[in-house]
Amino acid sequence: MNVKFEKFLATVERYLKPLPTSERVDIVKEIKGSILEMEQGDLSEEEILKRLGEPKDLAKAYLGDLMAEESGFSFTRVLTVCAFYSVAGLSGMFVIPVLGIVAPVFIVTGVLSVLCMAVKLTDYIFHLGLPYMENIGMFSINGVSVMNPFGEFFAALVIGAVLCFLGQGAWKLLKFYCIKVGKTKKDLSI
Amino acid sequence: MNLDKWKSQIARGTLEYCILLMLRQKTCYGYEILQELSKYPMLASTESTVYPLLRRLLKENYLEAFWKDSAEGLPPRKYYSLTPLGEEYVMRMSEEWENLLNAIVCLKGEKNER
Repeated sequence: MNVKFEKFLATVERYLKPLPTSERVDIVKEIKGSILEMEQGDLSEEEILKRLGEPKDLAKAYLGDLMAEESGFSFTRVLTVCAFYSVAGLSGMFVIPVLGIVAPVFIVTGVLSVLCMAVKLTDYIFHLGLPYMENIGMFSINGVSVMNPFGEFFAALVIGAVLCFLGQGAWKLLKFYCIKVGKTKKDLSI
Repeated sequence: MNLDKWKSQIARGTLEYCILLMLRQKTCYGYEILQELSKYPMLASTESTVYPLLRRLLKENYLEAFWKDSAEGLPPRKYYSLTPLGEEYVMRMSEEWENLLNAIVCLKGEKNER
């Protein structure tokens, strides 16, 4: 298959990430089938791409339709209920600021802690003698590091990764929450 | 005078019914449904409207689907057919559709009498 089409399908698949793998694969398989049928039907590459539209929009069409039905997933229910009550402004006053602060702070902290530890490690390796290095560290007794800098760097990487992951999760939750509120508002025609 | 907006609203509102009517007659695959719809100017649609709709109807159990390999050179196709629930659904839709058409006939009729 043509490179442009492969790229198109890859982009659609990327935007379908919120869906389980089996669904994503099935959707892409069906669209690919369509493309091949259109090629057989003597449509030009341009015509085919025009008909399919932007890959992002195509993916959104699938996501929008699927988000519309609530499955038995209880966490979704909890959020929907929160969104429902937040239309009156209650939980929104809590959820939005908390998530809105947690998300960037965790991500920034995660990145910074790795960077700081990288600096300390560089100082150690190259014996640069940078000042304040003893202030960077996690496992120290009376100002003396217990772990060697390589170990500390590795620990920083792990903790940084966890923080970034949590921050991203908080961000996704926040977005999901806002979408749910928007949809609930629409459904209630408020 | 531009009827396009209204026409697209009507098309959007009846697309589900039209697809189910089609599947009531015969099991079809996605692309085939698009081809059939394109015969009717007001109903012509693309993958981005029809495929997610089919997927939703499948999830709601009005349709069932299976993949089948095709002849040489053609891609495998996902075929859709009505479930018993789907049969009942489209029957009820047809009833409501009749009611709507009758209402329109009445509304048209009254104007002619004036």
